[in-house]
Amino acid sequence: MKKTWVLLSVVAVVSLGSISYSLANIELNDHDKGTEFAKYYKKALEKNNDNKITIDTESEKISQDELTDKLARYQAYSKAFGIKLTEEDAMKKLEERTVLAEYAREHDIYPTEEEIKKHIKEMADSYKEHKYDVVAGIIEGLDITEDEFFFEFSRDGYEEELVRLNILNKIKSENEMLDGEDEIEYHKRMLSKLNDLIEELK
Amino acid sequence: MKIGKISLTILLTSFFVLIFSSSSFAKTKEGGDSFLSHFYHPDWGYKNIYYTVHTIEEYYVYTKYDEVELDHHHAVAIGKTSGYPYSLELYVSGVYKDDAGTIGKINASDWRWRDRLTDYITDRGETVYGGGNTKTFYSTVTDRPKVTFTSGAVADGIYYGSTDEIRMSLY
Repeated sequence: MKKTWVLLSVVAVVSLGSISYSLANIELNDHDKGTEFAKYYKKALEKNNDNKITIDTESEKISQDELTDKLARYQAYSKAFGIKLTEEDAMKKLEERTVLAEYAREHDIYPTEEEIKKHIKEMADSYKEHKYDVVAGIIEGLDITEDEFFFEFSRDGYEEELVRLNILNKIKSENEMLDGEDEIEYHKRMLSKLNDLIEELK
Repeated sequence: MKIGKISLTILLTSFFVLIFSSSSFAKTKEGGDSFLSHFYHPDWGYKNIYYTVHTIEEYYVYTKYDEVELDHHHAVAIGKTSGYPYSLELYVSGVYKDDAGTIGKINASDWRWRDRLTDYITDRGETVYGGGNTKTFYSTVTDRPKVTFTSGAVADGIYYGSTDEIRMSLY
């Protein structure tokens, strides 16, 4: 009788192990990955808002809201897509955004509100034409409209991209293409100069 | 010792005989069509890139009824990334999921394919994006060289390598 119980217990443990292993290995489709990301983001945002997170930084210009939101995105992205993004990564990106924005304003090349909206509209229109399941999943998971996703939820990223583009174009205007250098090599060299500038500004 | 050498010779001979006796052949097509690939990045949000198909290699096998059947194909496509203010690079994942849902390592032939893509990155200085995996990855129906016909059908995904570069992972 005792042997039977031992045998049954072993079978139960093995079965439960197999089931949990199978469940852990179910691959989500793109849409579900999007909704998972949204779910984790909302949870992380709520948690970060409850327990204010502070990270030692020299930049006092990064607001608590910015930090909370960026961390929530990175935490959600890490969980949903299995890619490790740390708090330090989030902080580094926010510092970059801050110093580049300052630089662009100082040199009078910060994009106007009209330019930012035009840039976002181009991406939103492109998405409308070529739907992408991950984004559809995020929109559904966040329970927002497509316009809210592009013009509000994603605005910071597009704005920063435009700032970077304007600075990159400034760097290009100051550095000519070398003899024998093709467009791609030139672009990469200018990106490297942009990275040098970021390090210098930090 | 002598027996060991003989065994090794037999083993190597058998290996090469097996390789060269398979009834298969390959065709290479020039590309030209474009397809769109999407990605979602935690910093930059939703983006997409157009890729132009460079070449498609189709690998055929003879069936037992002496008919020709497409076994698998490899495709190489090149995307222009010079409009982006951050670096954008290809990363080919070292793992794949087969029809049975098994996660495994990409086999040697696919690593060669990866090396080819890497060559393009080095030589042309452009981001290269490959699509079309071996038959073991997907069903025969969906594994046709669809890059030439369907927009964004190949190897879309979520791709983030580090904070400084975007990497695209095939799956």
